[in-house]
Parts: sequence; structure tokens; C-alpha cells
Amino acid sequence: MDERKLVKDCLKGLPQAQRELYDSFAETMLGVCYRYTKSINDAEDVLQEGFIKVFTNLQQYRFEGELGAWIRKVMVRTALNYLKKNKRYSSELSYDEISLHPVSEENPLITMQAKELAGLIRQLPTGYQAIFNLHAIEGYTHVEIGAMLGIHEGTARSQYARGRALLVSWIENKNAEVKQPRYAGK
Amino acid sequence: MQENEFEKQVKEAMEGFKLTPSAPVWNRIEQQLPREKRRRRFIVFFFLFAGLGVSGYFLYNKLNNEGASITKPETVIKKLNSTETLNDTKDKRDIEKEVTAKKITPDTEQQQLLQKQQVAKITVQEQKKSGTRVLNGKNNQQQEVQQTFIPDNNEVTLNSFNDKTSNELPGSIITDPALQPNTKPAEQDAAALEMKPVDNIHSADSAINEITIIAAVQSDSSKEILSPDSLLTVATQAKKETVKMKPAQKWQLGVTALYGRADLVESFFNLGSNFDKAYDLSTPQGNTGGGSYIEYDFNVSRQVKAKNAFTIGLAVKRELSARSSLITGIEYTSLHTQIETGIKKDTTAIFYYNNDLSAQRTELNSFYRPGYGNTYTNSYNFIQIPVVYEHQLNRSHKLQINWNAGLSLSQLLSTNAIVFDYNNQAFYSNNKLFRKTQVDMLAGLNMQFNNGKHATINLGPQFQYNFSNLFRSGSYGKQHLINYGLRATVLFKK
Repeated sequence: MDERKLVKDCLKGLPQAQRELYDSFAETMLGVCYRYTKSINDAEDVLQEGFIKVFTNLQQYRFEGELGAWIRKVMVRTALNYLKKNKRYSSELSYDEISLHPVSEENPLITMQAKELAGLIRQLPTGYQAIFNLHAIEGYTHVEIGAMLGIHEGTARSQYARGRALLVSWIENKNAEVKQPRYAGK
Repeated sequence: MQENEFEKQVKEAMEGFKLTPSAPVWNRIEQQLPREKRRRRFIVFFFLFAGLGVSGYFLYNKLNNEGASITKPETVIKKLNSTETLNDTKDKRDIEKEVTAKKITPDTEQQQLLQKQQVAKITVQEQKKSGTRVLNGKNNQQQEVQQTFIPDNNEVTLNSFNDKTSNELPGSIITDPALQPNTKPAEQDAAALEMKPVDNIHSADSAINEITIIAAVQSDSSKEILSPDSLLTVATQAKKETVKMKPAQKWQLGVTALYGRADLVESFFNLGSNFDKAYDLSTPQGNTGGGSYIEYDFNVSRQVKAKNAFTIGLAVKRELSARSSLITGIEYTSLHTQIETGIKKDTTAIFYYNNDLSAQRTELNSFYRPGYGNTYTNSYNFIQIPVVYEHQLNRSHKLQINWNAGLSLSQLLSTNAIVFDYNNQAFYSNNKLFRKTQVDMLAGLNMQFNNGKHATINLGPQFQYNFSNLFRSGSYGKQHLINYGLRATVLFKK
């Protein structure tokens, strides 16, 4: 697939090219949207809104870097806007009452399936979830995250630490649950 | 290190994570995709017509100015007994000479003879831009100059209308040696020589709007009485100054009114699409806000229903050519839409608007929650100055069919419209949100009835689309007012 030609055809408004671009990236991008939202319906709404932004702003893509990375950025920003609009993000950023598990000394081996891991990430409070996704997976710095979410860098950093700790504990528990039945079986 | 290792593992695990979206997702995307080709085509056509209008206007002006200094010595003379065109070389040379000829008074004897043998009348009416001027008038508006045609061997008296060196007024007695001695008084037989205009030279100071030459000829027989030379001289002279032209109705004043419907749309290409409205009304997104109302997350324009719209104003029409004109004026427009809301809260509240939680805030005494059960009518009152190019599609004079297109600059005078703020999940009125100055596009068709001497009536559908976003902030999405309906314009003739 020639990305350059595909983009140009999309800019011309050719329906076939638009469909081809959607088919090429929809599954991956839904995976991204899924991690930022709480339900598959929400994820699809973000995906829909994100792709409309992609098609309407495709002229801004300058062929610098991969097209997939550019679309991913659009999706992430769309997801953040979606959270803001739904007041979920702002209302849940100040989650302090969550009981945090101590951070494990060892790295929890992520033996679970990707979908299970994504499911755990989605169980984080919305604020933690967004910051964890942005930092751990998308690779944004805390300064960038602070600017994107309109919060202080220190807040982003502390929220991330809490979310990470929560996620690690859940992964450990999950791994333990997986192992136990095996031993019991023996 | 451990931290980085954990993030690395998570990232790797998530890189290949894919989910297959359901089929309706693409269908919904597809319906909102930009249709570049149609948009471009519309823009091309719009500017094409606008360009044609402007170029036509300048071309008209250019030709009009040139026409004032161009004379074409085309002469068609209707003779007494036959119709023929005199265009031989000799005659043309005579014309050129006679146009600049000096007046030479015929001798008394000949004059007396010729007065008895009056054979022709030449009526010359000259009208300048500034009004009608009587040249040697016995009547107020029309001068009948008794034209004595002199035999060929006599000298010719002739004034050039444009001859600045002549002491005679333009249009004074023109004498031509063309009289036959046996002619009878004009009352018994007459022939009218009438020349039609070929050029409009109304802009020239010396323009003659109407010259009618009537040769009243007395004759015993049906033979030709007037000599071709004499007639040609007179006729060509008159022809040079252009004949019989009605005063142009350059400007027309009138009144205009429109009644129709107004609506809000997200874009020009969403016109007539009800999908969004139906979708959002049936599937509210979000959660119940504390159980008292339903949270929505959508552009308010999708929930708006069309209501009535009306326009009244004054119109000024400027003719650019026989089939095109420019129309402007000043109009008052009132647009109404209806929106469905939930319960009304009559409590004091402070809202941060523009959905950005910034320092922009408004204090309210009441607001509406989203939902169903209440309807609220939004009113938008504008004053606008439209500039519309109009072109006649057919060639009929009795029933003209015109299309028009143009732009309008409008100013929002007042509004009571409530706006949905999804950040606060409330509808409320805040005039600071609206863009006060708007640019609109107008287009329409109309039939023009020329059934009166004093007025013309134009009647037909009109469409107006607001180019500008109704809101200053993009936080409320793209919202454009449209209105459409039947427009009637009455233009008065002077």
C-alpha cells in the first residue's frame, strides 16, 4: 500500500481510499481508544470522532513520520477530549482514597493476554488511566502530559505513580490467580 | 530500571493490541466525511457566476462610454412609395460634406416658392441627459421644423448637431435641395420616415433620444417626391445622433419581504440531513446527572428544529445591462428555531462557558437541563446589507425569470437563544457566546411580473446560508444559520 497515494486520494475525497485507510488502521486505533475509555461503545465513539478528524485534517499530515503514528496521536487527543467532555477525567483526577498496594520489588511478569492487560488499565480511575496510557504506552513525558491535560507536571507524576502501583498490584494478583489453579490441580 | 522494564513490557504488550470495530462505526464516519468534490464544484460555480457578473458590469460600462462617441452612418429611409436603402458612395460623401456644411440662406424667391410647396415636415426632438431641449419648438416637447427641400442646384443649409463652431443651435432648420416643383401640401399625403436607434448614446451630452423625421409629402401622383439626396442628408444626420431611445431606468427603489423557515446546520453539506438529529435524540450519550436529568454530549444544532423566519427591508436595483442587474438594500431579518430541553432551573448559578473551565464565567438566574418535555424558541434578530447579482434566464419581457446570487453582511442585533453547554450540562442564554457580525450567502430564483407601469413584482424562492460560525468559540461545534422561503420584492419605476 502506497501511503502517499492513499493520503492524496483521501484528500481528493475518494470514498474507496477513505475506506481503505479506515480498514488499515481501524483495528489498531480501536485498541488505543479502548485503553482510554470504559466501554467498547465509548471506544467506538472515540474511534468514529477520531477518524472524522483524521479525514478532515489529513492535509496537516506532512508525510513526516509514519501515517499510523500521526493517526494514533489524533486518536489519543480525541480520547482525551472525550474524557474531558464527559467530565470523567476532571472529576476523578483527585482520587486519593484508593487503597494503594505497595510497589512490588520485582517486575510483575506480564504473562496475561493483551486484552486482559488492557482491561486492567481500563479499570484504573479515569485520571490514572489516561496518564498511565500517555506515559507508559504513548511515551509522553510528564511535562507534556501536564500541558495536554492542563495539570501541573508534579500532579501528573504523582498520579502516574499511583496508577502504576495500582496496576502492578492488579497484575500480580491476576498472575497469582492464574498460577493457583495449576498448583491445585497437581 | 525496574520501572522502565515494566513500562517496556506493557508497551510491547499493547502494541499489537487490536480490536475489530462494529460495522455501524464506518457507516457513521462515512456520513460525516467531507465531500471535497462537491464543495469545490460549488465554489467554482459561485466564483464563476460572480466573475461573470463583475466582468459583465465592466464590459457594459466600457461599451456604454464608447457608445457615446461612436456614430454609425447607417441609414434606412422609408420612402413614399418604396423602401430602399441608400448607401451608394456618392450619397455617403454628400452626407459627410453636409454634416459640416455651413448654412447658406436661399434667395427669397425660392423660399416663397418652396413655402407654398411644402412637402415635408421634419420633427426633431432632442433630449439631453439633463432634460428635453426644444430646438426651435412651437410645442413644448416636440419641435416640428418645416423642412423645405430645395432643388439640387441650390445651396444646402445644414447644421451639425455636434458642430461647436456653428452659431446655430443644433437641430435648427435644415434645408435640403430635394423638392420637386409640383408637390402638394402635406395634409393630403404623407410619408413617415422613421429611423430606429442602433446605439445608445445617452451618456453623451449631445445625445438625442428621439429624432423622428416625418416627411409629409404632397403629390398628385404616387411618384416619388423627395429626392434621395435630401432625405439621406437629413436621415443620416439624425441617425448619427441616434434615434428614439427611451430613458433608461437605471435605478429602481422598492420594498422586499421574505417569509419562510430558519434552521441551524453544522455545514452547508448537511442541509436536509436529519440523521444527526434523529440519532442524538434517540440515543443520549453519557450518564444520568444525579438521576435528575440525562447527560448529553452532542452539538446543540442537531437538536434544533426549524421555525419561522421573516425579512423586511428596502431594496435598490441597479441595471447593469438588459438582462443583468445588481440589487442591494437594507433588511431586518428575524430567525427563529426551536430547541427541546429538560426541566428549567430557576436558581442562581455561575457557569464557566466555552467549555474550557477558564476564567470566562457568567452568572445566571435560570437555566435548563438537557432532556425532554420543554421547548424553547430561539430568536435571532439581524440587520443586513445584501449585495446580489441578478440575471434574467429567459428573454421574455412580460414574465421574466431571474436567478440571483450574492453575499450579505449582517449584524446580530439581539438574541434570546439558549446554548447547550455540555461541560455544565445546561442550556442557558449568554450573548457573549455569539459572533455578532456574520457573512451570508444568498441565492434564489424569481419571476418578475411587468404588469404595471409603475412597479414590477418579483416573486420566488430564496435561500440564505450563514458562512460564519454562529459562535465565537469552536467549543460549541460548527453551527450555521440558514433560512429559506418565498421572497417578494416590489420595485417602483420612476
